[in-house]
Amino acid sequence: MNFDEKLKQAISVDDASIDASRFIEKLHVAQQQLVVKRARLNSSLATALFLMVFGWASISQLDNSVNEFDGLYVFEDDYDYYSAVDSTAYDLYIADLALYLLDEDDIWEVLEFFEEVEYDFEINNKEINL
Amino acid sequence: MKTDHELIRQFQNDDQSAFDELVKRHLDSVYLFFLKITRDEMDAEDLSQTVFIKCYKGLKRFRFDAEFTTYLYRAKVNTANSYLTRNKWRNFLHLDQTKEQSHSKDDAPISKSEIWTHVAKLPGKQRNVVMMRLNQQLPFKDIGLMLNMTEGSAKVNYHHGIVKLREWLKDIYEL
Repeated sequence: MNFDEKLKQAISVDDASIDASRFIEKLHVAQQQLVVKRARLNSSLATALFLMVFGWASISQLDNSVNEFDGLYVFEDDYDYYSAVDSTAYDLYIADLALYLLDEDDIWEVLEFFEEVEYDFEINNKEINL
Repeated sequence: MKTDHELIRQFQNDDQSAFDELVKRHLDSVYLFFLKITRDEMDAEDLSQTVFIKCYKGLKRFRFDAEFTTYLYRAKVNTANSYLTRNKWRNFLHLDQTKEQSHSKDDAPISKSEIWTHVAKLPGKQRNVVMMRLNQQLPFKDIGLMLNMTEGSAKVNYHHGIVKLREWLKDIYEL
């Protein structure tokens, strides 16, 4: 017997039968798992994409300036339009208060008031930190 | 009876039963192919499942350029290659265990595990041709068609592969 015939004989299988319906049932389970896996992958990708876009949009709102105050880094955003609109009433209120103090004839108190208004945010922040 | 291509078309139109029919039709040949390689029914079943899952994923994009059996043979060969590579170490250990045996008779039985351990060590083309020829006993023309090579190239690769196998196995079996 030549060599490759020996090999063919050695690997031959006498009896090979498989239950087709049981195999197909298991195959259906595997297919379902594949579908679930694909859905998970798609949802993960969509989430990652959303986070990237959201992150980029958030970062793009910051300008390049960073202010350090008392160990804190404060980034400024570019919402100037809203700040301007919101601050109008507040500015009028401050002006009224200043005029009222001016009527009291105490110029130093007015200057102190302006200083207080100017550093209002930092003073409040400091108190919160304390 | 519907042809494989008709069943694939139905499957591409979301008919799951057509795919099941395709599986039923080719299951025995796929299972036998892997049983000859693995010598284990569970492994053969797992590998058969891997092949049909590959088909499930790939048949949606099947272009009908070739027969489904060609596509299936390629899937089988690729899966068998992955299996043989994955089990290199396990096969290596089996090799060590059986090396002690020595057969002096000319018609001494050669262990299946020895054969596949050594087939796994052959270079890619030789391994694929030897695998197809020993396992499926296909004509070289068909093997060439399935593995994208000429009939002559298939013959040459088979010859080189067999010579190497004989060289490696003769130390164990005194061939």
